[in-house]
Amino acid sequence: MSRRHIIRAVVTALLAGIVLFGMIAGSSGPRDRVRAITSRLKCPVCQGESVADSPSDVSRQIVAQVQDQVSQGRTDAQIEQYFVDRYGSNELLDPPPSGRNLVLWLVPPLIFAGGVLLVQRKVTSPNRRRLRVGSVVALAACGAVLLVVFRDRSASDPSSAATPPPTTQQATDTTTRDLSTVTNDEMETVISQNPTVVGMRLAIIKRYIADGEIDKALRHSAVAVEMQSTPAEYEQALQLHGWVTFLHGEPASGAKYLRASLALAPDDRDSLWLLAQVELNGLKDPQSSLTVLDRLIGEQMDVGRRTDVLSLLNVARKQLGLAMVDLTTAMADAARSTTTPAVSG
Amino acid sequence: MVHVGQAALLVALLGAAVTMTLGWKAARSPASVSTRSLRVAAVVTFLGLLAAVAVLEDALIGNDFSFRYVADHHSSASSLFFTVANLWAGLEGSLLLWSAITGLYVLMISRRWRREDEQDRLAAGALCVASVVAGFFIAVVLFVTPVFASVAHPPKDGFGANALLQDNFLMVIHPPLLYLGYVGLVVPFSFALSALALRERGVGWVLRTQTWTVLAWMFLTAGIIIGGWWSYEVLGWGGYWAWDPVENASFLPWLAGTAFLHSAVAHARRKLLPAWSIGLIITAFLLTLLGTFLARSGVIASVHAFSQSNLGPVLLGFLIVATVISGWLFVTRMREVATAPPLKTIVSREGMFLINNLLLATFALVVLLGTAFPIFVEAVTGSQVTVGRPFFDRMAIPLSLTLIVAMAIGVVTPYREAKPADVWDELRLSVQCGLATGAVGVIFGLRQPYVLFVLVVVGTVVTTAVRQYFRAVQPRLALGESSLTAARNVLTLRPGFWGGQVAHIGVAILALGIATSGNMADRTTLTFTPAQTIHADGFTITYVHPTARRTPTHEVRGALFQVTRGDATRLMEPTLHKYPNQVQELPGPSIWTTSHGDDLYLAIVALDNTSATLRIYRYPFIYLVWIGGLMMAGGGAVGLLLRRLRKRSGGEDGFDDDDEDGDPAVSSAPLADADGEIAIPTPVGADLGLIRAAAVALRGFRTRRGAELRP
Repeated sequence: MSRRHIIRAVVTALLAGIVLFGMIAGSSGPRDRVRAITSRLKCPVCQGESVADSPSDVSRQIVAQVQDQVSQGRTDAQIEQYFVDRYGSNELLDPPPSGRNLVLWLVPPLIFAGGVLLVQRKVTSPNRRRLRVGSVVALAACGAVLLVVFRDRSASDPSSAATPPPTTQQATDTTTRDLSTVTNDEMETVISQNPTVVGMRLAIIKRYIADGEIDKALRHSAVAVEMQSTPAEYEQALQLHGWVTFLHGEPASGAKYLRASLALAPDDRDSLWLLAQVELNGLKDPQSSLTVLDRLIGEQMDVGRRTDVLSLLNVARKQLGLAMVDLTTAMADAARSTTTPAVSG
Repeated sequence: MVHVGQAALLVALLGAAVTMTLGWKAARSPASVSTRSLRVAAVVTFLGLLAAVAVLEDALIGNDFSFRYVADHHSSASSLFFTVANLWAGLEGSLLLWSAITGLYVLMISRRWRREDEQDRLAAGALCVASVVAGFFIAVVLFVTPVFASVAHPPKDGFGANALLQDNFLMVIHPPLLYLGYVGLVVPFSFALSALALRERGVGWVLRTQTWTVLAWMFLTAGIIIGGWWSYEVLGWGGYWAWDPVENASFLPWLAGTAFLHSAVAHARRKLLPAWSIGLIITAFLLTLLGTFLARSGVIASVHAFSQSNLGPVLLGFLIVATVISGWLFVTRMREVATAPPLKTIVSREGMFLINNLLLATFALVVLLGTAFPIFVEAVTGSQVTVGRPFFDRMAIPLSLTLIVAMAIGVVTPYREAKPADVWDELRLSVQCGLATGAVGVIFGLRQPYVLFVLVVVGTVVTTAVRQYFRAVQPRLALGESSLTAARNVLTLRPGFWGGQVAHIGVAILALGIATSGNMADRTTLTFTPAQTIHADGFTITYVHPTARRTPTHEVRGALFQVTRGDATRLMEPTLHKYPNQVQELPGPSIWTTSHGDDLYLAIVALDNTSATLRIYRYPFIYLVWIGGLMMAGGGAVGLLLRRLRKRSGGEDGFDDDDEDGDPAVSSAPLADADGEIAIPTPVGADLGLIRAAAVALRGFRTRRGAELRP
């Protein structure tokens, strides 16, 4: 070996050493556990987004809970299990390697192994033996990685929880999707042609409320409460009219219609929720609002709504000078008392 | 007017049927069909589709709401630019565009048909296959999801396009680029199927379709990158790739197409891997159909949405028929058509192509698995399972890292046979430069393993490309060519190779952008009250005041922030957009690409009069993703351009028909045999003497190198 070769080798080794040092220094640093865990959890109200990426209220709540649990020193597996218990196994974006999910873990290495064998068959040469050794090494590496992953996961493997009961989400989804292809103007046309059909009128009221066109909503809701309809439709008409009149700036009238609606269906969570808001924000009556909210809090509801209810509860309690409820504990309590996974309402 | 559109489509369908029949006949015996009639049929198909597109565009521009498509997807408030783009804002219109592009490709294949050439049964067969595909999609827009339907009571104004598709230039060009790419794969697919059906041996079909393959790949790459960029700029979740099924549906054909692009080189140059090539292009095309099926049938949102329209079953049926026919042809004809000598060793360019194919095919199958698994589980058991980013990342990261390493090694591996030691000799200086790049990174405080790894690869790949270029140019300069002439001659001699080099540098840059933005990002969520100042991620952010305004199409609420870092100050206004046809407000993130090379990304989470809650992301060098991605697509363009230049200067038509022995890029391995056999490269221009001299000089140059390498 000439001196030149040695210098070259030393320089290469030095450079490689520096890079390696940087890599090792980087990988030994503290890991953002909260982000790592929340990016493995699915945002319960979104389409395939992770909790870490989603801006929804529920996700922010979950991030706070994860932060809490991490600071309590719970392991990743325990925290993940906590959320799987609450939202079902569908909550994990990365299905654990058990049961049918094993397919996801076993098939990719099998594909790769098959490919390696195929490549090996294409090559015939004196080097064949070396290639075979190479393939065996590649496959062994593949297997080793798999083994490590499994051992890593086996501690955190949440028992493949029973699949959640079918929710009503699907049905509501499809109906809204169908209606969403109809424009407001088309709906207006249909309503003016069939003035006695309540359902369509209720649908357009909701849409106008969502669009913030309160005047138009009021025109329809005022008609809807005067119409002949089924008890369920009448209850909903009262509820919507109450909310619309409140939005229109008449809280007293709003509360009246909402109470009427509650008289027909005392357990209607939507009516309770709207009434609580009208009492607190419209009539500036935290005490009555609190009464309504206390009734509401005993009901089952999804996490997002519960967060909202608890937040409003705290606003009311604050105005009355009462102690605030700790959101995280309250959420956990509610989740524990709920035997079935929350149904989106 | 609706009927005019229908009539145009009927004409196109008829044209496609005639093209198919004539193509079939011509494939059996070219003499029985006149060139003219075949071309006329193809022109009629295309003109019919063009007329249909024109009718729909006319209705869109003229606000003719008696067209159901116009009423559903257009509103008179749209600007002209977006009105034109509304052609592909809805399902039916985009399928029409798809058919029109297929028609365009049919037309182009028909221009290539040479009847007098007895051997050109290949093109006739390809024309037949392509017009079947065109005919299918025309039938879909005519009968299954009719694009030309009328409304009984035309509304005064329409619903408007999906708000997400409005007001962003990127989203306007994203779909047509993707379709050009998707549909472009029809050409090599048709030729491959035709070669199988006609039992044509040889590399003819690959050579004839290389341009199309590169073109389709280029469009597909650009389409995917621009889709990601749009997602980042518009959707406000702070990322560009979510591994969602629709994205995967475009990524799958890209993976198979990229694998084909590489195996086609080995096939065209060394007559190797013919079975891989045919298998890969068939797979790529079937994956575009699968992608269309996944994205269009509603099967992703829910298996139950599948049966809501006829489109899903029809697409699935076509996919199955296409799979069965091409699979049957592949299995039964393969041995007759594709006989290739086995590779001598895996340590050769061919071997590296094989490894590339193995990795890309594995990648594609894994993505397919992750995408299809939830659909299967839901269809079979009714229960839902989620396969998200963690799964795809776990699979994609090792595969991608191996791929870019193979990319760096493959370029310097010679054809036929090499010794690992020779490959290392060739690579050593590049790797040293790569390591030096990484070391500089470490010295400047970079500590992220993935980023450092990719940085080393970037350094290696760029150095290799630059060295290859200078080594090829040097002997020419020594012979007195001007640097411009030398550059031109070197580049046009191997259009495919240099296009590939550009694309490879693009891949490395893209990988670097993915690594930096993914691993070194800062993410915070903060709530501001007006006039409040918060320091976050190195920025000083002051909430100035909330804003609100109305545009012709929608309402905008926003929050104005003054953001300072160092001397630089920016006013940033992330917004929320409320469209009349959309219940939820859509985010409008505000992005500042700073002079430090990082992006500050602000998106509103919640906004009222008293406070604004903001997600704040800092992404270092995320723009490398767009630059690298577009450079990849640009590599395709460079290859095509150089090829044109070569053709114009009288060279032969092809991407890489220089022989590997005349290839200065290869290592000194052939010299080890000391047979001194160096082929004269294909003549470029008229000056054959100069080239001969160059080759002689080259031999001397390499011998010197050889001596230096082996003391």
